[in-house]
Amino acid sequence: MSKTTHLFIRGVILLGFTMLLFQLIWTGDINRFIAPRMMPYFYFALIVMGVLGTIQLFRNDIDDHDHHESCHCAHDHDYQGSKKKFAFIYALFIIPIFTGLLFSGHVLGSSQAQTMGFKHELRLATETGIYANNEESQQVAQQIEQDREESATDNNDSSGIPEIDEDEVPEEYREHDEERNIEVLTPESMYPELKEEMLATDHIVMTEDNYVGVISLLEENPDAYVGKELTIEGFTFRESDFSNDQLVVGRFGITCCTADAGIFGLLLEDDRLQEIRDDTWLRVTGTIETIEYNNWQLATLKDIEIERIDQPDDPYVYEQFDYSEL
Amino acid sequence: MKGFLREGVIYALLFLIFFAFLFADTLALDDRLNIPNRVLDFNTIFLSIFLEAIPFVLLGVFVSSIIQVFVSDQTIQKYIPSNPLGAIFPAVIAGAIFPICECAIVPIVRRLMQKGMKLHVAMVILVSAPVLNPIVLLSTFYAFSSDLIVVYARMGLAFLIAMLVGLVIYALYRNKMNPLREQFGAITHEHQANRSFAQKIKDIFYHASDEFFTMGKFLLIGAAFASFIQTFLAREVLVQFGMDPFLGPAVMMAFAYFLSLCSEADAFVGASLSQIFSTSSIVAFLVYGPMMDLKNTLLMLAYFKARFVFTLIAVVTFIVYPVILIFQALMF
Repeated sequence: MSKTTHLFIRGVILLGFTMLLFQLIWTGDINRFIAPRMMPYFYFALIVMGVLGTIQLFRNDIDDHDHHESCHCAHDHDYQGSKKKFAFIYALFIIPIFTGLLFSGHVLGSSQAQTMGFKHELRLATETGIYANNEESQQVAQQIEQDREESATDNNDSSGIPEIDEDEVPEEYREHDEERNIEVLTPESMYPELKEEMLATDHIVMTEDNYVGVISLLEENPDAYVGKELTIEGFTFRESDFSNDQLVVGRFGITCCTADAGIFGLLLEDDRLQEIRDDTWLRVTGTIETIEYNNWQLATLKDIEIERIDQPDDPYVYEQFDYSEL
Repeated sequence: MKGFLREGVIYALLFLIFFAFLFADTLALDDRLNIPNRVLDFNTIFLSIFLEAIPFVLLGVFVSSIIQVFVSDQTIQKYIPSNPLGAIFPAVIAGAIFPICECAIVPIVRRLMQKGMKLHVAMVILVSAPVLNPIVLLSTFYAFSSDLIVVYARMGLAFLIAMLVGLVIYALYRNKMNPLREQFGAITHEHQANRSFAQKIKDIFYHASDEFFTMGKFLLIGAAFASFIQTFLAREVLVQFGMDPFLGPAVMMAFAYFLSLCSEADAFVGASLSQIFSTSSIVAFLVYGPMMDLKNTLLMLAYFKARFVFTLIAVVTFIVYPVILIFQALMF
């Protein structure tokens, strides 16, 4: 293959990536791969790709002896090799352009959720089954249990505060409380406003923006929210050891890109859930209660109303942190 | 005649891409073809790793091209202490200050080496920049805010390990070996000065697009492997090793290697595993992943001789693992 052919095909590939990026950004499908806060980098990538592709097509350094003399980086080496090798290399670049353009609409669902595992289930597996026959590990598990109980009582202390009128709490106490929050940044202190909101309201509605926060707070101290109503939307999936009337309603939370997705959701149990297949999008409203599930205190919903909904345009939720508030 | 045919094929390719670009929505192939979900999951994660890396690879390629064209060898030499061991500490500091992640650092380090930076100093920057990095510090702080020991351990141990890597690489090679692949060997660039500014800009773009293809193929292979592991390895498999003092850190290092996450995001994945793995295993995951992973191994293979890359992996691995075990013994 002559260098001209290489330059031509590379130009086409670069323009292909430009089109892929443009289509993803235009349709918004880019957010199925990348968290929105990374977007500035992709505008940069789009422009650079377009410029590189255009330049590449009109590139004429084949006879540019001046360039070669000055630059002994021997990029020409890149252009030598067998036809098969190049067919393979260029196919590597071309395939993602097509799978990206044609299958960008795919949304991770129950199959990936099962691979990644529902957090609670993983914890259960450690603390009960697998380590049951190992004395040392049992001690570890007990220690974890103990720590958790201690921290649970701690949390109960602090969650008791909102019941008292804020003004009645002496200044020193409140300051002390704040100091402690800074030392140990638990979900409670990562989402302080959200926590106050959740404690104040009788009906917590989970939205794209508060999704990760609400689940984190519920995981940390489910008891504080018992008796409140909660509305959650999400897709359904079951772990292999779930019974038919159990499922998780949740969504994938993404930090940077889909490769770091984690599942955020609630475990539900109800006879009516038997008819619901995996990967169904539901809106569920119910009253928060806790269940003791293999020694693990989980938040769940009882007296639920189930409503089928369409998959939202933006099926993932994103973990957004305001670094400036540190 | 043959060349004519080949051009025809490339034009057809351009047309097909444009066709897919215009009519992807109308075709709605994912609904029509019955492709298994796992395969689509694989494709989505593969593309997400690749797309996520593109802007940073481009940034790295441009910084590298700019160094190539505008920074002289003498400038680089001037800022590095001449004492080989004395240069290690400033190198870690330099790695810590610049917020460069693991995709961008590879072409930059390679260019610095071409400009005369000593091998062991360059390797210190290569392993330290992606982990000792202000953005990584913030994301780790958020993910482990309830367990700050992880944050301190990640940064402290990474600092220590980067210095040790510099020492061992110096002891092994004493700068007598050129690990760059032949075509990227030492170059002389005195005549760069003669080129006009416009020519220099043109050079930057030509270099950038050549490097994109040099690195891109390795990046794509790395992303495909990592995505395969992501899609098909059930996390439950890992659980049984979770609290084992020797297997735990080893398994987490292997996991970090194959997942090839961005160092900015790995803290959140680490946090999600913190209930099933011991603290030292999590620290092993967070320290080892940014320094060495499948994606950046393949990126390094684009520029460095394979034998050197595997030696470097061995050196980093056999430093991280004992350091983690010692940390574990001291702390718990």
